[in-house]
Amino acid sequence: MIILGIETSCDETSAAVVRDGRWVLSNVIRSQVDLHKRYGGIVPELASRRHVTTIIPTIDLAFEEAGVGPSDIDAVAVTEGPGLAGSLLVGINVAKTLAYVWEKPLIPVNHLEGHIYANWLTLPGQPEVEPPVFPLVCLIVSGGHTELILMRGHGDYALLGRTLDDAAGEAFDKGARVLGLGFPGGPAIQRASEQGRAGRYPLPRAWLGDSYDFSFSGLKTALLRTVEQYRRPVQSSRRSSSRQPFPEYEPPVYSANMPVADLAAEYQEAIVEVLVEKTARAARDFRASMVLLAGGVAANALLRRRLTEAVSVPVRYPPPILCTDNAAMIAGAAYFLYQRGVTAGLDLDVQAQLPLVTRTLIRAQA
Amino acid sequence: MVDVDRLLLAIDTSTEQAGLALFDGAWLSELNWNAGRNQTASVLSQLDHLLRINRLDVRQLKAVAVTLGPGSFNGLRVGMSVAKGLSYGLGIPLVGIMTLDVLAYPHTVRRHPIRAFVPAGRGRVVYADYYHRGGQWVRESVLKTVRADQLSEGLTETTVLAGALHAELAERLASHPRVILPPPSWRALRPGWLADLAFQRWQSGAVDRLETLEPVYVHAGTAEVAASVELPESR
Ligand SMILES: [Zn+2]
Repeated sequence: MIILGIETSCDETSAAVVRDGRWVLSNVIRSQVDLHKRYGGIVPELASRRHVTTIIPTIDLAFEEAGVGPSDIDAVAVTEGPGLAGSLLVGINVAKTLAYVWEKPLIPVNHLEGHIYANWLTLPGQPEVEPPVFPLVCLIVSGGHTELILMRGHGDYALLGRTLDDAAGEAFDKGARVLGLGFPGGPAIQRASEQGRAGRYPLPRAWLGDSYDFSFSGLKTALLRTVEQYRRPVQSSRRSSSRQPFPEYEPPVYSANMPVADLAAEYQEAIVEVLVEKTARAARDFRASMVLLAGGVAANALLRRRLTEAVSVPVRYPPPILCTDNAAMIAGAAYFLYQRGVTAGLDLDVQAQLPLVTRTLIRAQA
Repeated sequence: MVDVDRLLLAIDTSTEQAGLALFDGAWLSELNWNAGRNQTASVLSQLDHLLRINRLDVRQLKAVAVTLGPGSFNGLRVGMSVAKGLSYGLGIPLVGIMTLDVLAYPHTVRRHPIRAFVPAGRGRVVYADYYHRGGQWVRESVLKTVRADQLSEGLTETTVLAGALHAELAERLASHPRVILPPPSWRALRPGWLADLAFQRWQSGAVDRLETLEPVYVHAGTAEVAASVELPESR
């Protein structure tokens, strides 16, 4: 079964063609990072505008690279949520229209489910990826999400824990803003950390007792307090930007002796340590046969290394191109949804706050 | 009898009042409904309905037209996404028309200047002025945002106001000596006017590019410059 997938939930416009939920025939991603850089973060309205111009050429290229045409596909899949409403609606309306005129089933996909199913995908020309084995524990970490999920079969999710405030990727972005390292924050902090050492300027970890939940907003506040002493007053170089619809980001200015690298290293360590400890504990508690990483932050090298060291079962993570938002993961997850009879009608709407459908779980039986 | 060789679909989701029209140069079928802010859920279902009641199939469409705004940002994106999907999915040309041109078009039968406007949020409207010069109707290039009750300010000639207004404000504006205020149904944003304008553009060979066409986004408190455009006269 060949599925065209479309993903526009945040700041990447992506279209992909995937066979049987496992084989990526094409995966075109138009990143908007350059557009949002000067604002120090994603501006939702600008992201939505960019999707409107890039969506069709992206789909067209996905067909071309896959070497197939509309008549070769069996279904159209699209992210219905969660995400930015103005961005999601571009993909949803285009996908619905294409499914309508080509008379193909339309498959709505939860973005988080997409991230998980990136672990089933094999990229063109790469050795075959073995399908993950249940039961498994999956940590979804991205700019919008931090969720720890127990999966006992296809579509069988139990939410073990989630962030109570900022997502892990959001924490990286905010930390990078505080340190003046630019956007996106994850790679920026990882790069700066290479020259520094964690532990010299201790930052707090929020353990939240023995729950599997996360909290990162206190960490950012502690970082802000630490850098305050190095802060230099700055004369704004730009004229009052209050009339601009989208004010640009002005990085803070610090004295030269601020230990940026050490702070970045400690900040990264603080995030990774909590993610790893809770994920490893969940894997033990639920006797997982495998641990999966998913989402943009899964590309973080320290997280991958520490998690692999901390658990005794295999730790799997997708290649970087399938960690960040992409449509291959949507087309992949759609295959397994379609097997269970999931399709949508012409009235499919944007679900900006869509939760992953999960079972409530009675505490772990060790 | 529908001329399926020249069948054009017009889509307007600039405002909460959404509309669709089918047009072949002579024959017309229109559908208007209050979509609220929920155009995504309703546009395609309504399109399917419009085609069904006319015993037509979506694959019979030969061109698609869409309003470019100004209007609700998300609303405009819904119409544009559906229009692009149809254009790409069916391999048919795409024509974008400024929403204000659609509002002004029916009033070009008179020779008075026209001020066409759409809501811009928080009691404001965005408008453009149209003048009949040298035998042609031309839209002034600057789009302005003002409070709705300031619509009659700065008028130097007798001018037709075109756009939806609350009854109370309509009454107040109508009493202005330089304002001609047509009845509400003539000031409504009708998809039929869009279809008519777009059909003429399409038949003259002026179609838009799928890769670059995007809505006109006007922010409150700013003056947006759009290319001035000649408007055909409605007859
Ligand atoms: Zn994501």
